[in-house]
Amino acid sequence: MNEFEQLLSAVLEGRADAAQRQRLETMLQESPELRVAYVQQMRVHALLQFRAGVPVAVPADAPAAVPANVVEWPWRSWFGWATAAAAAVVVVAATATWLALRQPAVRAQVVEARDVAGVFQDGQQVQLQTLRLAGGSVGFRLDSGAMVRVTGPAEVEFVDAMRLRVRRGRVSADIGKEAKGFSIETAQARVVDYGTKFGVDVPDPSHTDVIVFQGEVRVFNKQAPVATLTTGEAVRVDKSRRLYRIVNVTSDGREEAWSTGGALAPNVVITAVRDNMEGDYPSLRNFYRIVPRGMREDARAYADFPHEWNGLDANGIPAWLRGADLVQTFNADQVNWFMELTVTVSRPCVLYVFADRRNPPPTWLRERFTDTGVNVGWEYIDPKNKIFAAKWPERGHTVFPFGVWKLEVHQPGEVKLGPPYFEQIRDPNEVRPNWMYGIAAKPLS
Amino acid sequence: MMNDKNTSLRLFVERLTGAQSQLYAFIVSLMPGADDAADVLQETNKALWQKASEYDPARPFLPWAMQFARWQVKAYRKRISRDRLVFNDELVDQLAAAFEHSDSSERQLHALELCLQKLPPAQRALVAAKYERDEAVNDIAAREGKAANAVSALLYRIRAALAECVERSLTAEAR
Repeated sequence: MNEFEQLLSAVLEGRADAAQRQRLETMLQESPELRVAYVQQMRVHALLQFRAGVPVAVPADAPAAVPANVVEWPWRSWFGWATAAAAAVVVVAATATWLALRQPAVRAQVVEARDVAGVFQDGQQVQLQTLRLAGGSVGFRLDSGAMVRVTGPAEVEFVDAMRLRVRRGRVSADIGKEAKGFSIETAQARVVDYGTKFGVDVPDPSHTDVIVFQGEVRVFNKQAPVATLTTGEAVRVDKSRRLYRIVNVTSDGREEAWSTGGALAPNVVITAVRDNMEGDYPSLRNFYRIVPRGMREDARAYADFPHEWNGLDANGIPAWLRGADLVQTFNADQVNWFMELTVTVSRPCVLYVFADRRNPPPTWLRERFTDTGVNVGWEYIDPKNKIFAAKWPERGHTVFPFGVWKLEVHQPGEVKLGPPYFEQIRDPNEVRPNWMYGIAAKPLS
Repeated sequence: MMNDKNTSLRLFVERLTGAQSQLYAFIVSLMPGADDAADVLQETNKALWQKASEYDPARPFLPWAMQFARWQVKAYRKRISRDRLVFNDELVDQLAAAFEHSDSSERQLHALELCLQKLPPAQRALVAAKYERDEAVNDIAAREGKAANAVSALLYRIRAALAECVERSLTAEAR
């Protein structure tokens, strides 16, 4: 390489010192030919960066004034206009936070301390810088309004009320509207929140898991966004910053108690659920959430929607179904006729499938499962209006009957399930009830 | 009246959207190697949006928008006094001229996509490592058992080849 090429490479790779920059500047000023070469190189460099995803957007007041259908991002579309617009504000806010003088410590109130041997008490006011927890977990309410729960073993730096750095451990965050733009950094990623319940887990220095329970976050690799995750999606970012889908999240039903590394509770019946969808949808990031003994009144039905299971009458969910292990499935794929789910069970059990009664049952279900004749209610909850209290039919909520089908499984092992439809849907625009089925299991006594 | 306003707003948004990659390239060129080009682009978009009502659809958009980008780059230079990350004004003027005439983001990115497909697989993999996965040149070199210098040189040549290819296909398309 000649001197110009070497200088340019050094600058683009971020390893040029002040003298090298100065030299490049002088060379460019003196030579029109080098300026042409420079512009050529920078154009392609910028286009390649741009193609990989640069967080660009217009500011927040744009969407109100612009009809949504006017705008289509011309490049690989990471985000819709509205989210991109919101992103602008968040990126700006994040930069401002970065530039602001650092506070010596972050003020917080302890909300709920568990198994931390009296180090923290509920209601206590604390000043946080670096928090190291050997075990147990502590919830904090920060001045920004963000609620964070740190589960040990963990080491977390509280940079300011809007920003945490997680070196190790699991952090669950519940971000109110006022703390939008809250971010969590790890060695592999920066996660910026948009008013969400989400979690970040750094079990060891090699990777970061990011899970969204409600709302939306963006995952950045340095400056460039590498993923937008919405409700029910999760990714693992490894050392070389590659992204992988996390297929299973296990939890005990509380939002902050979750694990990507297997069951938290003993004696679970359903230990894993996987599917065959990644081949058709390489960017699929939805997870199955396994909730041991999670079947109860108002149990959340899906990982990606807040809809619920409940009883169709005053008796509620049948007693023999209550306390079953529950799998929150997802609806990402509305027309996949080739869908196959594999459910792994650890012991002999009765496996239940809840299927929409508005459709004829899928053939695989009719042939291999038995219809119990019992229904559970599938209650539509508006994702934007998460008020869970109202009950159908008194308050006009939408509830549909889902039939309970069962299969006795006599050996630990795998059970395959098919698509939720009785026939192939050829027109993706066709509207028909095709909500995903639910899965539950109880040990065979 | 309302319609006129809507039309010019629509044009503004279309042109702003269509100019994103050029504005980004321009900003990156004025502050090469600085990590914050995306932030400066955000600020530029914000400033442009605030002046949307002053935009005259009869005027070419890009030169107008580039003025805003230059101001924002200057503002950025004031903010970070710690390092010489931004070129001096004279050079900025010289470079600006080269950027004023360029195709829309959409066309450029489309051409780039086709040109990337024409690269030999090993070169395409190198582009993916550097630009999609943001791997450091040193890491790529170590993995491939090459000198870092050789990888830098190859990246330079690939960018030059892509630039030529993009130019060629845009010219061909224009005919």
